[in-house]
Amino acid sequence: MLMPKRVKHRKVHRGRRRGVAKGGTEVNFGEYGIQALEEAWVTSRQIESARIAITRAVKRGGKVWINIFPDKPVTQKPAETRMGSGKGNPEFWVAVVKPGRVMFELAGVDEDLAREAMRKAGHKLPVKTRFVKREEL
Amino acid sequence: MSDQITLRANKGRETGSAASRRIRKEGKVPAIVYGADLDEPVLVTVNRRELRAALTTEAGTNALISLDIDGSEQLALARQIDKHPYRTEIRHVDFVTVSLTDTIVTDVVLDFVGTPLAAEEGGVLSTPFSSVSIEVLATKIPSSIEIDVSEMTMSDSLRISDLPELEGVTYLDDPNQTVATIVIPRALIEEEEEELAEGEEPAEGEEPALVGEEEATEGGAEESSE
Repeated sequence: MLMPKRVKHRKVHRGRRRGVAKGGTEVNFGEYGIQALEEAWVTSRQIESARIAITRAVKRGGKVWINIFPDKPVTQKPAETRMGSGKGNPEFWVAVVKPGRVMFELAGVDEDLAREAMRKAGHKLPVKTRFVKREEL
Repeated sequence: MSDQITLRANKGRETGSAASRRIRKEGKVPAIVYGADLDEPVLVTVNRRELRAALTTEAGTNALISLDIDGSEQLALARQIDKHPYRTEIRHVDFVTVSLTDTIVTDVVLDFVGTPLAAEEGGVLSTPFSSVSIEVLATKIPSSIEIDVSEMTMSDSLRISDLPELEGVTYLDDPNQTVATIVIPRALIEEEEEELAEGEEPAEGEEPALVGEEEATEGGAEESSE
């Protein structure tokens, strides 16, 4: 599962997820990609699950790029705990995804297979997605 | 080679984000025309459908556009096409005026033709660059540069110097720059699953090291050693 090797702070603020993606909105490495149409926190488990879905769909062929990284720790308080006593413990890691972000890229397979792979990956992600190609106007 | 496409443009648009938003709502795209032929940049609007039609011909975004700015013709190329992050919508375009006699610098898409021989052995064609920078006459911009990759075997790579020589076209990128290479995809699915089972990667509950703490411990160790 993806997570940072070292961090500056164990716990961070939740922040806001307004607006659209500022960068990473185009297919840059592969030929095809899957683009988010909504904003969400994508967990490292979801990223891994989508990656496995793509790899299985394309079988041996193809090269996959993961363009998002879960660098934000999410804390949770234990169940049945009274409020107070400080912030909870870091439980998992998320990538903040905004509309327009190309999350995965794929190369080395034909378009139909790429579409199918991305469709399957889309089911593992908490956002509405669309299939994108390189150099699409 | 590019054919000229006529695109109507209207002068005298308002500037600013609110005004641009109003223009887009009317089915138009705010644009700007500038270049050596003009004394100062001209703010224009173009019809969204007509613009899309002009930029989606065989020549792609390198289409030579004959801009009809309120009656006066101006030859231009679309540059800096600002797209919406996820909708198929062009938000703004820069038009750069061009002369038929001067050469221009532009990017042209690479078209990789064929299936590499290495594909049978499981190799995947990797194309780090989808376009190359060229210097060419505005009338002779190729719609794409075709490269035959069907002869590529494992660990083969193609460089800028391997690109076909075209009449009037000068490649501006480093001749040693790789444009296509054959890569071996990561291990098979089964192997990947085995890796996961082995638990080489950190478990989810495990926390990464803190930057400050690491330094503190290193510093402490140094102090103690002294």
